[in-house]
Amino acid sequence: MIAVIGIGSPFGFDRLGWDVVDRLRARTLGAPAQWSGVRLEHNDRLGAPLLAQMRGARLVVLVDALQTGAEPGALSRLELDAVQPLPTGSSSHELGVAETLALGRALGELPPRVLVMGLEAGAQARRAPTQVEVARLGDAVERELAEARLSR
Amino acid sequence: MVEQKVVRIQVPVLARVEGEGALDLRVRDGTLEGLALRIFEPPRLFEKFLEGREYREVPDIVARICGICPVAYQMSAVHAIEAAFDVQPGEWVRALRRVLYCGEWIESHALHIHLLAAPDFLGAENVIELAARYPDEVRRGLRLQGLGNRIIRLLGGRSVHPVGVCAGGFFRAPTPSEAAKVLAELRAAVPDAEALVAWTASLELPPSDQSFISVALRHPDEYPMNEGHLVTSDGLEIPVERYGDQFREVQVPHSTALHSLHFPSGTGAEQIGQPYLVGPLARLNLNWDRLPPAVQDGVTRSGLQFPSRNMFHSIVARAVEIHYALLEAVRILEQYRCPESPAVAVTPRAGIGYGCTEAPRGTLWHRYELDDKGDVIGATIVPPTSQNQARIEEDLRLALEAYGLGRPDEELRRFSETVIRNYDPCISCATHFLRLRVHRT
Repeated sequence: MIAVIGIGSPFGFDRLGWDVVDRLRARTLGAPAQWSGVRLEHNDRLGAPLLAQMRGARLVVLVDALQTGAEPGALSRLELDAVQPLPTGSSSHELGVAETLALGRALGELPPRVLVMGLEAGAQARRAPTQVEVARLGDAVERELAEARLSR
Repeated sequence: MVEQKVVRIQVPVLARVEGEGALDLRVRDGTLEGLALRIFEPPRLFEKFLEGREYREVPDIVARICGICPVAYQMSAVHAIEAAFDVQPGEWVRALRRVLYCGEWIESHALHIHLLAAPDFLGAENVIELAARYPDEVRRGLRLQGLGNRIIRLLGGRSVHPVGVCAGGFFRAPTPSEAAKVLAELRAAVPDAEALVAWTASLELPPSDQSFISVALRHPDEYPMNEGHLVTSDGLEIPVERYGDQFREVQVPHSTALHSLHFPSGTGAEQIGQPYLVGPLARLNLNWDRLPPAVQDGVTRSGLQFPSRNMFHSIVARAVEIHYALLEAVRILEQYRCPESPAVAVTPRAGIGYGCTEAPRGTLWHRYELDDKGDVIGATIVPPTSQNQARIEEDLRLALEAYGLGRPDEELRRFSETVIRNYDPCISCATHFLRLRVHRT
């Protein structure tokens, strides 16, 4: 089982993860067989709910909007080891993606492979992602899934 | 001229409380001369947003005030609106609202105990470090938190900012099989809750023995959630409508959050307001006799006693309330039946309504003035954290003096954070920095 989990909210560039998952869902209609064994899900709560959502998958692709200071629209593909929590912790009552992954690792509860894929929001994170951006990230996720199927 | 040595530390920590705040300490000759918990969170203006809105919109708007305790805001709001319209939602709604509140207590308390407070008492920087050393305990916490969320989803449609609540009841009743599924999970979780009470009671908590006024709801025959009178540990008992006679919000220069104080002889200008405590420890201190024997026995076996004057027993109080909430939700869901309608009809009329319920962090008081169409003319919301702020400052003063002000700044900062976090303050969901400034002269 592969899980693609779009992380976000309905607002601004943060909806990128959900939009990509929606695009992939639409793509399954054309070729259902190719998508068997792939879960496509939204997430709006990190921490424990995300750990539960990842359980049971051999590969999880987390799709999220990023703000790293890179050029707006830049595509990132991060293996698990490249995702580290900030030393201060990024939030209080909620854990961020990096903290959730670190917690999962400490508990020995992460799937065998986790990838984080996203696009740089840039400073103007209030704008919604464009169709072109959603398609570009969606296509990149599809290529990862194709590769993962071949390597099974 | 006295030489002034001012030590200024700015440390971006306190990642485990909600909101933006800083602590200023002024120490002269080893004694504390000044202390201010500064809150510079921008005002959120929800009371003004509500003006002109129809009563139907209120539960969903106020739910947005907090992502951790949206149910509390919905509960205080619908009770106030129903009081204004003289609506009696009946036993089914009353019982299921308790179940919904149980879900929020379980979710919020499990989160605070494991992710926010326990690292302080076990020498860990955060839950990730804690998880490496206490994986089973952290897993148990996450399980309980998840269960709390599923209860909220059962009645609220989703676990964050639930949408199932309306004046008069609920938009939808769970099917018997949905309720049975959650009931089975609740039953299976009871051993987790029992173990959690014993575990929190076994933690080596800092010593603390303080005199403080506890304030909570009290109900004739149940542990308080949605109903009851307001009572205080100094003997006051008033209906919730009279909150304003005895308690008043005041502005302090160093905080954008209002401080709420208790004025035992009325709120005349000449009176001096007193800090007071709301939240799990205050509730437990005032309502120990309302717990069922199974819950009381768990505490007694652990060797602790309530009422307690140790503020750090708040973590145990949260565990006790998780245990209670599980058993209470089991009790109600065991008798679950689908009603003919999940809500009673509501007819607006002009009036004022008050609602006061027990949020995970303490008493949450709402007042709404509504016109004959049911539109909001005015709203007042007094959240638990604004009520606890003066108490947090008082606690810090006492605790730091007992701890020793001669200690290095880093130790003072850590200890101050532990004291503050113990209240689970929820200033808002924003960025979070405790900057500690110690001025030593």
